[in-house]
Parts: sequence; C-alpha cells; structure tokens
Amino acid sequence: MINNIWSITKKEIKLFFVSFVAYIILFFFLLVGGYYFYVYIYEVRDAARIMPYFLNFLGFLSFLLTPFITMRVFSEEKRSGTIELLLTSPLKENEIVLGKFLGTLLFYLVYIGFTFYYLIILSAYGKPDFGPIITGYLGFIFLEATYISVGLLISVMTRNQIVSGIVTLIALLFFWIIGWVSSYLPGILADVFSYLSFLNHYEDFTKGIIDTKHIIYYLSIIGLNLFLTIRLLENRKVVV
Amino acid sequence: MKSKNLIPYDKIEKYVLIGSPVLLVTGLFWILIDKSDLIGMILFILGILSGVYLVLNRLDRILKFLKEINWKSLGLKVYYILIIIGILILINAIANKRFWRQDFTFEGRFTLSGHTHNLLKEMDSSKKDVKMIFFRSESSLTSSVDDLLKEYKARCSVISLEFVDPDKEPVRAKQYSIRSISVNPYQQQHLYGTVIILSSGLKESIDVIKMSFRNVQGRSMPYPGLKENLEKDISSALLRLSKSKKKIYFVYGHGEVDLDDQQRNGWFETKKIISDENFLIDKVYLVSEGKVPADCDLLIVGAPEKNYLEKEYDIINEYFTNGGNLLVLLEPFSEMNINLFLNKWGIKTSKKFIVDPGSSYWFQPIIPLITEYNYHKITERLKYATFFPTAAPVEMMEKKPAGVTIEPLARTTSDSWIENDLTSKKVEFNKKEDKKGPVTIMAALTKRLDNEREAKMVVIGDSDFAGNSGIKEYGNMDLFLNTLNWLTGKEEMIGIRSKPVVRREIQLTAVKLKFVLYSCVVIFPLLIIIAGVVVWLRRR
Repeated sequence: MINNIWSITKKEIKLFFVSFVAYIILFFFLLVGGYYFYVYIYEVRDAARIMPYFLNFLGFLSFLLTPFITMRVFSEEKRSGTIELLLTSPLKENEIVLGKFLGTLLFYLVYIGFTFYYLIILSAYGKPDFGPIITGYLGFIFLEATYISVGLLISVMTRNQIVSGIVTLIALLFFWIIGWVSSYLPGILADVFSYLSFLNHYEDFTKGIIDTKHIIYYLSIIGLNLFLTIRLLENRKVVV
Repeated sequence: MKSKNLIPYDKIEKYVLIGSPVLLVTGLFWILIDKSDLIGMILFILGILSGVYLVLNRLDRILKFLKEINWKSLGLKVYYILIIIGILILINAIANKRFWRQDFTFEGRFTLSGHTHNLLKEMDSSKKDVKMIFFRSESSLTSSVDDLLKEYKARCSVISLEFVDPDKEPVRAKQYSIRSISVNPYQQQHLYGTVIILSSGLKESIDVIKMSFRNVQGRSMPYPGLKENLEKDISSALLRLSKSKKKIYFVYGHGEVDLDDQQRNGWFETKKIISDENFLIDKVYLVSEGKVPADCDLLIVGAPEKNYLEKEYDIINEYFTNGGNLLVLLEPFSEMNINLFLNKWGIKTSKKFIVDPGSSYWFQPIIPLITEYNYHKITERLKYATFFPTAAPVEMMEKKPAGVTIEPLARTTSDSWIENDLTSKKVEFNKKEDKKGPVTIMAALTKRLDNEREAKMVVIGDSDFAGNSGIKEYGNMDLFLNTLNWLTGKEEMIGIRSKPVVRREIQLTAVKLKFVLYSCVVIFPLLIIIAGVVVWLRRR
C-alpha cells in the first residue's frame, strides 16, 4: 500500500513541476511573501518577532494560493478522462487520494522551503528565537494540509477547474471569516465558530506554543475531508 | 461507469451557482454582525432568490435525478458519515479537556507561573463560570495582554474571554465604567485598556495601561506603556473572585461609628453601601471576645470616643502582625491613646485638627478638600475631589519597623497647618504653636510577612467623610470603597514575578536593507520565472 501511495505522490509532484502555472504561483508567492518579509524587517526590527509575524501572513497568503494548486488535482483527470484509467488500475481509491494529498502537500512544502532563505537573512542580521519558528512551521504544515484536504474534496466533486478553484476559495474564506465573526456572536455559537476557524488554531503555533488541542483539531478536519474524498471518488459522481 | 452531472448548467447558471452561496453567506454574516443592516438583508434575500431560480430553472431534471436516487443506500451513507463526524466531535471534546500545552519561546513569554497554574486548576474543579472582558482600543500596545488572557482561557475551561473596543461599543463600556487614558490631549487621542472579570455577581477591574513621561526636545512628553507584572494583578483578581464574600468587623464599645444610626453623624447609609459592594458586616467587642474573629478579613477601628484598654491594643496588634488588615479612622476630638498602637508602626496622630485655607469645602478651612492624590492602588482610578470635615493629622515618624512601607495617599496644600487650639473661635496660623503643612490626612502601610503574604493598614484622620452626611458627596464613596477593596484584597499573589520582554534588535544599514529588498522581492522571484520558462520551453 505504501509503495502505491508513494508512486502516486511522486507522479503528482512531477506533474506539478512540469506545469508552468505552478511556477507562476510560486512567482507570486515569493514576490508577495518577499515583500512582506522586507516590510516586517523594516517595521518590526525585532528578530524574535519577525518570523512569527511572517508565518501568520503565510497562513493568509496560502489560503489564497492553495485553491490554484488543488483545483486541478482531480478535476483535470476527470476532464481529460485519465481518472477512468486510474480507477481501473489495481490502485485502491484510498491509495489514490492519500497519494495525491501527500504529493500536493510535499509540493507546497517545496514552496515553503524557499522561505528558509528569509531565515538565513534573519540569522545573519540578528538573533532570531528559533522556538516559535520551528513550532510556526510545524503549525503551517498542519494548516496547509487542512487547506489541501478541503481543496481535494472540492476538486473530486467537479470536472471544471475554475469552479473547483473558486468553490475552494469560498470554502476556505468561510473557515477564515468565522474566526472574526465569532467575536460578534453570542454564547455557544461564538465558541463553535471560533473553534471551527482554521486560523484560530494556527495562531498559537506561530507564537511558539504547541498544544495538542490544535493538532487534534487539524487531524480531525484533514481526516474527515480525506474520508469524504475517498467516498466520493468511489461513487465517481461529478456534481458540477 | 459514466460520470454524470447532478446539476447541469448553462453559462448564466454557472455564475448563479457560484453567486448564490456567496450572497447567502455574505448576507448571513452581515445580518449576524449588524442586525439592523438593510444591505445584509438584501444580500441574503438575493441569495435565496438566485437559489430558487436555479431550482425552478432545472426543476424537471432535479425531479428526475431525485427519482433515480437510491434513498436507502443514500440514507445509509449519510448515517455512516454522521457517525464519523460524531466520533470526531467526541475526540475533539476530550482533547479540549485533556491536553498538553508547551511554550517554546526562549524567555517563556507565554508560560504562566506555578501560582497561576494551581489557581486555574482549582477554578476548573470549582465549575464556577468566570467571564473576562478586555476593553481595549485597536492598538499593538495591548496585544501582549491579549496573549496573556488567551493563556488563561486556554488553561481553564470555566473562563470565557471577550475583546471589546469601547469606541465601537460605548454602551457596554459605560456599563462597566470604562475610562480612557488621554495619550495626546492636543490631538484628542485616547486609549482604552481595562480588563473586567466577572464571577458570581462580583466584579474585578484591572487597568493595564500606565502613562510615563519622556524627554522630547527638552519637553516632557507623556507616552503610554503597559503596567508591569499584569499576571500578578489578574491572578490576584481571580483569586479574590474565587473566594467567598469578605467579612468586615467594626470594633464596638468605645463610641465608635454607629452602623445603625440614621442621623447625620451615623453610618447607616455607609453600612448599606458597604453591603452593596458585597461585603459582610459584623460588630466585635474585643473586651468580651478576647480576640479578633478568625473569619475577619478587615477590622475597622472607627474613631473611638473613649480610650481602648492596653489589652485591646495587644489583640489588634497580634491580629495585624499575623497578616490581618486594619482600617483606622480618627477624629481630632477623640481620645488619643491609639498612639500606643500606631507608634509601633511608625505613625503618630494628635488631638489637633487640620486647617487648610488653600483648598477647602465651601470656604470652611477646617474641612480640607483634597484634589490631588499620591499614586497608589487606592487612588489610581480616583478622579474626583474628596473632603474631610475636621480631620486629625496622620504623621509619619522617623523610625519605623523593618519590612514596613508607609505611603502618604492624600495631603493638604502648603497653606495648611495643624491647629493646636481646639477651643479658639478664630482659626489662624500661630507660628509658635501650630505646625505648617502640607499635612498628611491619609496613609497606607504595608508590612511584608514573608514571600507570600503581607499585612495592610490604612490610617485616615477623619471618619465623617464616610458617614451618612459625607459618603455620597464628591469622591468620598469611591475613596472609601477603594480603601476597603485594597485592604480586603489580601490574596495578592505577590509570588509572581514579571518577565522582562527582550527585544532582539536587528541592526540594519541602508545597504543591507536594499540587499534584503532586491534579493527577496526581485532576484528570487525572477529566478523562478526563468526556471518556469525553461521547463515550459523544454516541454515544447
């Protein structure tokens, strides 16, 4: 099973690297990310706080970019018909979904790898606090994995890449907005909304705190989304 | 198996399909945030209408699709998914109760002290709900207080936390008497920063901002900063709230203030006000009890007309040295053997009264009007003047016992003096007999017992200011209640030390800054685009 998952993962990463769109997205990622890193260095000037601020921004930037990455994962295969080949192969649905999920995540982590350059700059000019940086990156992996799991679930429902991308963006926006909407709501509704917000769970990681509550939350959302993706793939139905 | 569309669409429908949920969600949030807003309502209705349009437009195909559904199998699938969601909710609920949380910052910036941890554990098991509301302006100044309060909430399930901007919700701010701090009076800039903690009908309030001054081009300019060791203040407040009502004992038997007297000189009104502030009140006759009751949180010696026995002072002294809290009210006409007790702690008084022509109540110099106070927990939030009808001086002796701090809280003006002659009809300063002011009218004394505890005493040269006739005037009630609250707040968590916030400054020259800008924003992204073009060309 692991071999099958790994072969799909490798294929997925390779597909990303040969696509020009992936380079365009990376270009925007580095342009905007780089600019904000420069602004934080210029404004904050405290080596212990720059990376936590930057990682928080990265959580926001990735929520805008992830739909462009995940929109093609299943939709493209459905449009071109290769999904039928994949499904008739000896591979199981859960292996396909897990392989594609890991492939997309690892590919996105390559993006994140480029931000280590900022870390080198920071270490050269100041003394950063590495505790919050390590926990921040760990939190980012959980957050990004959650974004991707939402993207895959929506991608498996449609054969139209644009629809897949926009709906993913709306879905992620929803889970992003409920965080701040919660402060206007009364009682238990506020607690529920605040708990469901993706970013509320990410904040502690960027501050330098690891809390099992947040890890369990992310794993639950990722698990549920992947489970639903597998079930939908088994049904092979396309909604839009 | 051939894939099929559940909802087929044409071009317009594609946009309606995307637009409908966007309108619905945006409208719903709009309505939730601002209930009276028409725009939210319109968006929401448009969302519903576009949804209805979608359904009506393809009603025949939807009906056909619904007919084709195997409801039994679908029901089973939904049931299966709901069970999985239920299990996940359960796991998350358990994870919220039993969790591991660790702070990895170098200075342990988000680590609460052991004292606070123990307190939060106790609060968790008591199941008594605690509500924290942080009234603060949108400013980066108070963000570390946000973090601190979030740590309290993360560690204790009975705490609920809310952030309110008083500029946006003035009614709520007024409800809790939130006051702003003026940062720049010329530009009318102000800041808010008050934490309100509520539990079982009791309230604690903590101000987090303090103003300091710095020299800018030869002028002293005020600038706002955070108070030190806020964790101590917040934990102390929580500790006070978690305890039951505080009990105040009034010493009786020597003509002290009378709690049941409704006349001008009585304390009947005062008793009601103290009870409303959630204190329990009782009387104690030291001569018959032989000790201060064990449940006493504050003992009030209220301007006795007759002298106490030495034995009674021994009882009071023993109570104080063991960590008791004491409020001593004086009157210039009372018997003054109370010095037997006060002198031991570095304070003396005399059978004389204060005259202040510089600042007095309705031009009556024997009623000094205090408009400025020395900085202290009791006076920090006091913004009104107070007056003291015929007050005795509260003087500090040169010698005071070790571990004792005495702070004068209120002083008369430099025009005032201590009048020696109580009988003369004409009040004037007599160089030979009278002592020139400013005269202290109120002082707070703290005695450190050990690392964890301290005993507190406040001595005020007057009792009428808090009696039936004076308590509701000017700021007298505020001053009196602040005094009671400070004195009974004995569970100060003085073991908590503030953590220094270390800034790791980056020294950047203009050249270095330019290098960061060009390498991060220009060269790096450009290299990626070149790599992309190479890959694209090679694929072609």
